[in-house]
Amino acid sequence: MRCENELLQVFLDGELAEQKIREVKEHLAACRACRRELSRLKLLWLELARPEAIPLPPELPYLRQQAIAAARPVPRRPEKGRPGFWDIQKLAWRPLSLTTAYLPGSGEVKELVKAAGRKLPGLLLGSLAITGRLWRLRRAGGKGRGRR
Amino acid sequence: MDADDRQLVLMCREGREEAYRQLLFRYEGYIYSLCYRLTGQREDALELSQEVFLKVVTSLPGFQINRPFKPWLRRVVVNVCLNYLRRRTQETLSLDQSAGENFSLADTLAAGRGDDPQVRLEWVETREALRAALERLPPLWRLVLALRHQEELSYQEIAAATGLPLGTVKTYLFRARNLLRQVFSEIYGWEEG
Repeated sequence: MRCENELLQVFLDGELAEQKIREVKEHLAACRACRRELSRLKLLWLELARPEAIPLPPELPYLRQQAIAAARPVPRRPEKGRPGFWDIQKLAWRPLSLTTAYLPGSGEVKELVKAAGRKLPGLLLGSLAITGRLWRLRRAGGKGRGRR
Repeated sequence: MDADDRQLVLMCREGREEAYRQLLFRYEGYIYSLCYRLTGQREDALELSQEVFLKVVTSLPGFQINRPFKPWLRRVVVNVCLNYLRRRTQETLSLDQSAGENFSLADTLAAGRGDDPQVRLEWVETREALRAALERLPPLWRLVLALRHQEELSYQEIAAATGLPLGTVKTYLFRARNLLRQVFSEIYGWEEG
């Protein structure tokens, strides 16, 4: 093995394969110049690894807070107490629904709806049609009386 | 991952400001120190630290919670520093520009301090000389040195963190350390050969 500075650096970095480590160690045992070079490199390694006390600037907390304020995702709040469309409708129609509750037979509406099931729209349309016909007959009758 | 880190990250994801504050407070010294080592300048390190804070806050939702936090943070810092150095050196000098052959202690101190190098040579401290020499290194050399000796990353890990080819990482390390060794040789009066 030849004297190689780069190989000594890789050796100190702990990046050599086992076989190569043995070779370097054998070489070091026989080569005084490389032993001297290794001790010099070790000194450099120690200095480079020594933790340097870098003074922290006083602006850091301010910068940290600025970044949080600028980029933090705002959490979505649960929509407590904010009524939706149907809640408003319920409230708006409550007086009417309370009044109708006192009408005779109103308690049966629920049962009627259950019984009619899907046919309810048809039933409503049918009843509207009958109401319309009665209305027209009444108007026609009224006009006839007026001519007399 | 450190249990507290994990807990803090989860709380941050809920959008809790206090958790962000605690997490950044815990690592702001590390972030600033690493930025300082990579750039060698206080003002640059401050600017980069702020960029890292922003990046951490915005990228945290994408962080994999079962992974350790610190390596992820280091990657963020290195990327931010690399981008910054690339932007900055576009018009001035190359990131890996050679520091030249005349990397003597006298030159180093003259560049670092502006004082009369001959006067200072007599009582200069190794630490001070090393810092001045590091500041004169090309940014990428300084970057790989910091990752190797301060962060204790392997060659492969440095290559992965910086996106540099493995061979380039080794070359930068060897060249940088050879130059620093020259400075040491002058300080200690080593006989060569």
